[in-house]
Amino acid sequence: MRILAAELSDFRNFEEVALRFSASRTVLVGANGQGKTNLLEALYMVAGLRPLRPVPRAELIRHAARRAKVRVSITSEHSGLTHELELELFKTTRRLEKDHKRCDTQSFLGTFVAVAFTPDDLQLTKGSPELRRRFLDRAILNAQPSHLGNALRYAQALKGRNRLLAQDASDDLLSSYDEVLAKEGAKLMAARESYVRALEPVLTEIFEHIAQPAPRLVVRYSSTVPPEVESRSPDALEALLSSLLEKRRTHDRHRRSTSVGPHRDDLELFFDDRPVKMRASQGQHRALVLALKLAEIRMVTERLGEPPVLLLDDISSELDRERSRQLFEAVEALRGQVILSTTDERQVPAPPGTYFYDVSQGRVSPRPSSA
Amino acid sequence: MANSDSTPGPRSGPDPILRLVQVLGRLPGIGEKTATRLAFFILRTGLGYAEELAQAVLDAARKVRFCSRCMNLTDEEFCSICRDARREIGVICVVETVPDLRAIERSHEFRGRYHVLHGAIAPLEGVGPDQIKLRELLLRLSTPEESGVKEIIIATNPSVDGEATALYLKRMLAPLGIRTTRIASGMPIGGDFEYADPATISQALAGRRDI
Repeated sequence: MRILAAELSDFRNFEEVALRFSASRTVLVGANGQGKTNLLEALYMVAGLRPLRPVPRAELIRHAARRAKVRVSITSEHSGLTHELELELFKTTRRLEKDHKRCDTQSFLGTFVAVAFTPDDLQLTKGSPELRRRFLDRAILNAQPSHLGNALRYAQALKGRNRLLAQDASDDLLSSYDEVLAKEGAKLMAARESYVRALEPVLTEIFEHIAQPAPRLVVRYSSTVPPEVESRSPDALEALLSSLLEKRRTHDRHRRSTSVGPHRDDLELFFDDRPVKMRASQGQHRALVLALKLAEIRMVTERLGEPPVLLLDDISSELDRERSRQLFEAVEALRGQVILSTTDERQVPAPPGTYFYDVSQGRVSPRPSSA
Repeated sequence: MANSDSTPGPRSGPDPILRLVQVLGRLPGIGEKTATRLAFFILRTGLGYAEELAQAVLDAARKVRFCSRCMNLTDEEFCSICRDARREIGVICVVETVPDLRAIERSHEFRGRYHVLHGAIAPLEGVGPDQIKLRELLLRLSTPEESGVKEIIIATNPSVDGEATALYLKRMLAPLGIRTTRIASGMPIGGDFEYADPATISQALAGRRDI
């Protein structure tokens, strides 16, 4: 999958920008705060309809502008087709177009698949569970576009239940939301559990290759719904979650928030029997983060039959020299398209055919060699 | 400076054109551009049409009320469906809105009667069971005229709030011992798989049955 070109208007600090991308590698060079990340974010928005970091939609629209627009043309080697995608963001709504026709979220998603790797990801193994849940949900979304709808429905039901808890609503009313919450939550958990099962062997293999010597890695989806039953089908999970929600109701009424469900789950990582969080050295953390991202990329590649577009946001400066080399080695082997940003272009390998753009104060200028 | 006497002073009331545009612009689906187009159409077409339009709006707003039985909109005590003796009295279909009722009527498939909730429970918008016509349904079912009701079909939307409303309704109806059913969701007839969204397909797969 490759992006051929992109046009941005009124996105973040960019008024009007048009870019063409190399089939292999495009490097955005500039000092911090000039908009390199914003460019990557614009592309990422079109792929997943989510910004790189959760921010209010209004922040994506250039100051004083009415709306932001991003248009990309992408091509897939697998299908041989080229598509035009257009995303328009207004303060409270958005408008999607695929091949110049208006379309809904479900038919928009999945057309353009991108995986981003940003400095935030380096907190993946030591930061809060929220980061790991987001990692899982974004990875699943690339394989299963309906996951977004499920996640949104779950989030809405959860907010509804929390509001009812705060209002001291009747048990009957609360039970009705519990049922919806259990049904949506079970789908989310089942999708995450099955993703983690598929991830484990891939992740372990990559990690052992990267970190030498590698401690024995154990990966587990740790759920607030305990593994009481063998079957983790959505139906079995729904029944479990439903009974837990009922059991925790008095407790939840006191806290005015919901204490069980996939919004409290975590992707747990262990070296032997000890949590990575407590055990790992800095170097091991970086190796494991890199392995997680490479495993995610490999799984998407296998599913799509072609590599996704990789968006690397100033990653070389965050990884040590050895990890950086391993990242580019893996990227090279993938033979996919990479768009990356850096403050120091000497840090990134630039094979023949690489395009360079200088990014400065919301302006993007191609280097002469980039045609 | 010379003609200060003839310079118009501040106007006494709001500009009637702008006011019309503003009022029209409050209609759903009407933005400022369309509102302006509609306003100028009305003005251009003349007083006769303007009076007819105003009268029609007033008549409808003054005369239309809730049907005393099913909360459909009507200009009489009971709506045309509730007055129709040919409708089956054993089944009541519960819908969120009058347009939903009309959509089901267009299918000519359903011969029972309706109950319109005028909304769904939505905690995030401050809508609780008391803000929709749910109590009216329970009261209605406790009257002797409705003792022949054997089944309630809940046809609220398949959204989160619509589902929760359906489940809440099921709970409220349970003590009455009336059978409650939920409309199925899945593939639209005449729709191609190719064009169905993944959520609909996954719902249709989950709801599959033996043939």
